Amino acid sequence: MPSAGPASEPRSRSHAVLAHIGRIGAFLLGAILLLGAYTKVIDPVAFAEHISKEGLDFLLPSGVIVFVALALELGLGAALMLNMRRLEVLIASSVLVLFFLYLTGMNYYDFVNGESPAHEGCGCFGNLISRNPEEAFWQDLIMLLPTCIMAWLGRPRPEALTPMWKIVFTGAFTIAGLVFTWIAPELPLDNLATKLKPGVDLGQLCVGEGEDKACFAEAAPQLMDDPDLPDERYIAVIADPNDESIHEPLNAYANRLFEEEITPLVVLTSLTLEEVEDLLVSELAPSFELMPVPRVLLRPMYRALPRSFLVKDGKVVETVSGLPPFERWAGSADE
Amino acid sequence: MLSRRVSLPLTAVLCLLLSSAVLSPGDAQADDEIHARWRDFAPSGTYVLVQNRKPNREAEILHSRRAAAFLILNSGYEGVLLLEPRTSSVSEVDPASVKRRADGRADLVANAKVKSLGRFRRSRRDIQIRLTGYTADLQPNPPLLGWASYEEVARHSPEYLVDAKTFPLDERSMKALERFKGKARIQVYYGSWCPTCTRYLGRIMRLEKALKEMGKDVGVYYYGLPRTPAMYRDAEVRRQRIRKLPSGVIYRDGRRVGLVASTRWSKPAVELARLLVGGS
Repeated sequence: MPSAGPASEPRSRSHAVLAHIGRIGAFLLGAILLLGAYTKVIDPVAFAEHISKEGLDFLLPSGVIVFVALALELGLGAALMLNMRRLEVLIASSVLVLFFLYLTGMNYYDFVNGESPAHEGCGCFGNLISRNPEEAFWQDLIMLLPTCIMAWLGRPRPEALTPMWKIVFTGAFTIAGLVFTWIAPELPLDNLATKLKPGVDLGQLCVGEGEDKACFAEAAPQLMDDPDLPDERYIAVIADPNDESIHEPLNAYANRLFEEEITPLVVLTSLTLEEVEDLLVSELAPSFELMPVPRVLLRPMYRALPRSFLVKDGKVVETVSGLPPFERWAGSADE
Repeated sequence: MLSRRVSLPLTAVLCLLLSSAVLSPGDAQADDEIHARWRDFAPSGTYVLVQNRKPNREAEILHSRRAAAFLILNSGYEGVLLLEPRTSSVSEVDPASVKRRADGRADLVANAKVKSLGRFRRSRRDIQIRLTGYTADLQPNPPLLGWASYEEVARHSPEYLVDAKTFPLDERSMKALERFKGKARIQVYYGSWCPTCTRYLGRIMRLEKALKEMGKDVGVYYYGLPRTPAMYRDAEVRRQRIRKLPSGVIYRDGRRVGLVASTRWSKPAVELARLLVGGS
C-alpha cells in the first residue's frame, strides 16, 4: 500500500505557500479598506455629499448609505486583516472591490471623453487624498484587484472554525467605528480630516494635474501678493455668505477694520463671482471682503462651515471651527 | 523783538505750512470732514445703468463696501443717487456733498445733504429705480468681448483705474526697459468677469502708460473673453493656447517671445523686462 506521505507533503507545502500569499493579500486589502474607511469616518458629511454627487442615493438617503457603506468597509477590513477569510467575507469583499472599480472606471471613462474635469476625482479617500479620475482608476485597479485575488488563495479549510474573539473584535470594531462616525462632525477633527491645518503653505494647495491643475494661489491672488497685508498676516473665514447668522459679526469686524489697524479679514466662498455680485445688491450686502474660490479647491479645506484660519507669510498659523476668535486674532496688523 | 534775519525765514516757513494746509488735495482731506459711513466709494464696472433699454455710458457707478452702498453720478437724475441694498433705499445726494479723490474714488462730506426718495425693487439680478419722472435699472454689466483699447477697457471696468494710476512699477525693471530699442506687442487676454484679471489688469494698464511716457514702441492690445466654458471655445484662446487669465502673449520684433499668465502679472514690469531685455 503506497504511503500518502510523499505525495501529500508537496501539496501541503504548496498550500502553505498559497495560504501565506492569501494571508498577505487579505491583510493588504483589509488595510486599504480600513484606510478608506478612516478618511470617511472623520468626515462623513463630505462622504455623504460625494454619494449624492455620484447619484448613489436613489434608493436610500445619503446619510443611511454612509453608515451601510462604512459598516461594510470597517467590518470587512477588520475581518480581512485578522485573516477571517470565510467565503461570505471574501464574496462581500470582492463585490465591494468590483463596485469601487466600477465607480472609478465610470469616472475615468467620463474623464477620457471630456465629460469630467481632471480634479473631479473619486472621493473614496475623503477630502484628505485628492486623486484625479485616471489616478483613482489605475490605483484602485493596481491596489485592490491583485490583493483581492490573492486573498482567495489558500483559504483555510471550510470546516476550520473562526475563533470567537475575532468575530467579537470585528463586530465591536465596526460598531465603535459607526459610533465614531455619528459623533465625528462634533469632534475637533478639522485639522485631521482636511487639507487646512497649521503649517500648511497656501501657495502649495493645488488640485488636478497638468493643464487642469488649479491652485489656491491663482484662485485667490489677493492673498498671495497683496502689499496692503502687512507681513501677509490676515484672517480668512470659509463661509456661506447666504448664512445670515455670519453677517453681523463679520460686518462688525469689517467696520472696525476701516477704523483701526487690526488684522485684515477676508471671507472665502465657493459661490460664483456672479452670485457674489448678486449679494452686493441684496439685503445681505456685506461690508467684508468676499472672495470666490472654486469649490474644488475650497471643499477639501473644511468639514463644516464656517471655518476660520489665521495666516502669516502665506502659511496657516492657527485654525478654528466656526467664526474667528476676533479679539485674540485682531491683534495689531504688524504684530 | 525779532531781528529781520530771524523773522523773514520764520514768516516764510509759516506761509508754507499755511498754504500746504489750504491747498492740500482731496485725498488728504481731514477725516472729520468726511462722512463716517458714506465713504470710500470706488469706481465699479460690475453694474451698468440702463435707461430706455440702453446702457447709460455717461453714468458713473461707484461702490463702497464700508457703506454697503452704490453712488451713481451722471445718472440723468438731477442729483446724485445713493442706493443702499440692505434697506432697498434710494436717496438723492446734493452733488456738492460728493468729494472726489485724485485716483477716482469718492466720499460724501460729513454734513452731506441726503434726501430719501423711497425704495427700489429687485427683479432677478436687476435693481429697478422708479422715481417721479425718472426710471432706470441697475443691471449686471455684460463682459467686454473682443479686441479693445486702454480707453475702452477703462470705460467698461473703471475699477482697474485705481491701479492704472497708482500701482508702483519695479524701478530696476523700468530702467532695464529703457534700454529696449525694438518694437514690441503685448496681447492681453482677459475676462472682465474674472477676479484675477481685476487684480492685475490695472497693473498692466499702468505699465502700458509708463512705456508710452518713455516713448517706447510697445503696443498693448486687450482681448475680452466670455465667461467659462464659452471662453475655451474662443478661436483666439485656442490659437494662442490660453489656459489661465489674464494671459499676455509677448512679441518682440514680430516674433513671439513668451507668455505671461495669471499671478505672474503681479510684477508686470519685471516679467516684461525679462522677456524683452533679458532681466531687470
